[in-house]
Amino acid sequence: MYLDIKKISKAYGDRKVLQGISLQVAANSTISILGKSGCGKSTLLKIIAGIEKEDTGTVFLNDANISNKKPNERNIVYLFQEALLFPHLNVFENIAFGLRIRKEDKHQIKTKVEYLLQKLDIEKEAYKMPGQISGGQKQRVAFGRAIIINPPLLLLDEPFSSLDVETRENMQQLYKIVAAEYNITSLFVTHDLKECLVMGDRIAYMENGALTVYNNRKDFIEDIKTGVKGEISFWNTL
Amino acid sequence: MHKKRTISLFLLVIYCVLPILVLFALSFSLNWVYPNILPQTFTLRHWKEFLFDGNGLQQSFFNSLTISLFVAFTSTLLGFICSKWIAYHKRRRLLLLVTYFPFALSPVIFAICLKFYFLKAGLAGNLPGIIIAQLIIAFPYATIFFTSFWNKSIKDYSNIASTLGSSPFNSYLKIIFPLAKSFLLTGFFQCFIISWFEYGLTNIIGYGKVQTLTIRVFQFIGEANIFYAALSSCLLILPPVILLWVNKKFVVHQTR
Amino acid sequence: MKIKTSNSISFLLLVVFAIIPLLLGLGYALLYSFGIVGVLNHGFTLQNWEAAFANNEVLYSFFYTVGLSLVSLFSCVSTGIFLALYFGKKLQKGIGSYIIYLPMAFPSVVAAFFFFQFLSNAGLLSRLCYKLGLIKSVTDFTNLVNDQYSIGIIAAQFFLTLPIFVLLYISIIANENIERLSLLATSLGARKSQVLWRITIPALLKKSFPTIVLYFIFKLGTYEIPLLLGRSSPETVSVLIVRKMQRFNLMDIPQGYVVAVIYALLVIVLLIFSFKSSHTVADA
Repeated sequence: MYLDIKKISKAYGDRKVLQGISLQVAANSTISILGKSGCGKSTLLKIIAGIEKEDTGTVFLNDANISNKKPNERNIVYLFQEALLFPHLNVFENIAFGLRIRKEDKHQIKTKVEYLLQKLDIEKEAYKMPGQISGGQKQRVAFGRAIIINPPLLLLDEPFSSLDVETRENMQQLYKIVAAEYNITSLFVTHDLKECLVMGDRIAYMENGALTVYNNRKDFIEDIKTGVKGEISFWNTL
Repeated sequence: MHKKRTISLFLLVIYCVLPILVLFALSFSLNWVYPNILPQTFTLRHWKEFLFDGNGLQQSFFNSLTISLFVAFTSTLLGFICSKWIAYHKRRRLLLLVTYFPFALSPVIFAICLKFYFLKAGLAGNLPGIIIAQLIIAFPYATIFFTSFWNKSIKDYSNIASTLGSSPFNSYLKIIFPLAKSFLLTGFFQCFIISWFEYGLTNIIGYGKVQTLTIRVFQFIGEANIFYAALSSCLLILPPVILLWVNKKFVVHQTR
Repeated sequence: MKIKTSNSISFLLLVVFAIIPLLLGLGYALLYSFGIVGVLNHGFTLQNWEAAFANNEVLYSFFYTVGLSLVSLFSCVSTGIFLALYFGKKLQKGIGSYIIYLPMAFPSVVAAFFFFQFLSNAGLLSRLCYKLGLIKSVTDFTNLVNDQYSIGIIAAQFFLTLPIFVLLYISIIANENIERLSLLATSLGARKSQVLWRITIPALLKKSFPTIVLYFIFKLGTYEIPLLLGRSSPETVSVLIVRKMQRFNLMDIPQGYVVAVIYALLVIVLLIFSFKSSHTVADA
């Protein structure tokens, strides 16, 4: 398994946010995690990224224990809910950031960034500042900034939740295309049922700090607590 | 209504500008006999004496400038470092309260309480002593000021940069400092002004031996020499006017 | 490891530049006031504390300082709200937005000097009154500095502090949706005056309360202005303390430290109050 999380626990004071979470993710695949607000999904991602420290448990990436590594040494990119583009850098430089700090060749950077801008359909916005582009465009830039460095693992924390329905669907499709092209392994966290089903090759459900991983979609749909059956019944009774 | 507003605004402008005009007028005067509104004789003598250091004012000006630049630079740097720790600390509010206290105390009273230690340490009546004393009030101010910079967004930017592979040094250089530029400049200006304006603490710790501009103003007032007092006052006001203008025009716009 | 080092440095900076001076200064003042240290120390005694309150000088000084601060603050807050509401946009751009900053370029000593030249009976205001025929000689003009009502002090402090409150209230109006709240109140049937007194002013005061308390603390410790423009009795707390400490009468020095300790305690209490109120305001 590419990502192997073993019995991660985390508590803030008396509040147990994560309780012995174990999860495996195969290379070049996406696992989507469905969960309501406050169930601990963001905390799990932050622990994997190294931004927060677990109380117990270990994180293995490609068979190496990365639990004690700093965030900048893990090569795991975390995508926040808000795009959080660097406000003083234009779109081009935001995407190029990861390559610049890795001191890649200038011409290489230009080529890679321009290719990605085209792929993400934001070429015309290349030299605009973050304040001059829309929410959907910002998310594309944030996404481009993350994948341009070919991260072994990408953690997406409800990245499309602030977008309108149509933009969201476009972003979902775009992500799937680009993820396939760049062979990305990722964890996709969401509170949206449909998004969870669309984005993940495998699906998990998180509640009160505990994680349930499903072998297939059928098992996920059949489990009442995921809410799929409830949704279906709602639409059927209308 | 529009006329009333215009007149009121005009009065407000007078209120703000009149003191500067009066001080400048007096600094160019030789006498101001009652009941004349304007001084009888205008002269460049006082300003010439300042420029050619006939009255020691130049030395006082440079004393003040040296002290203020040093205090501003040091308190900005140290305050910026310390503020990050406080801003993200669990007990942020308590630490801020502790930091506020030396800043809230009257500098002259604080100086009186610390005078004993400065004497013992050989720091009374000299420039280093005054710089250290002023740092004791400027550093807490700088820390409090910069604490508001370290918000959740800055932390998130640092985290993003980190997950993109940036070392802490690179994150500071390429992300934090560019974003903090306007904050740092404003903080520097404000610490400069705190030091530049300081009289009571400087007088107590300096024992009157270190002649800063504020001390000279007091001396001239005591001697009833209103023209030199006005000149020193103009010298005191000039740098802050320039700094406030620069801050308003360039720094505030950057944050937008 | 690196993060922990920078945390230690920050902690050390706070201790060296803030905590230690505070403890040393207040500790010395406390010990001196109780006769434990000092030129004439004879060991622990309450004599100095008794002497400080023997006549009413210290008490009057505190009452006077508090009263002066309240009057000065009240005038700044009320005028600041008025100007922010009345001029608002004119002070946010153009020449008005630069002019309002000018008084902030004045140190206290210069403001005191100017107001002395402006308000004394041979000052500019007196000369204007003479030219307008309102007075016939210099003695006809009431001296407004070093006077009974501390007009000079209030005027100088007002001059220096007003811009701060004007800018504060302009900022609150812009950021706290005061206009929207006013529109909402109007749509609920409130008249203009009701909107002003029931919505706008209370909202502004509530939001600015921690700042008001903080400036009250600053005004309590003001030194240069009352030194130059104040009367000989009662004096403000800071002037009283400095006078007692710098006199040749060594018996006065411990009393000066007594007043300093009381002042410091008052500042601590007010600071804690200000912090608690800012917590409440932030939660609202």
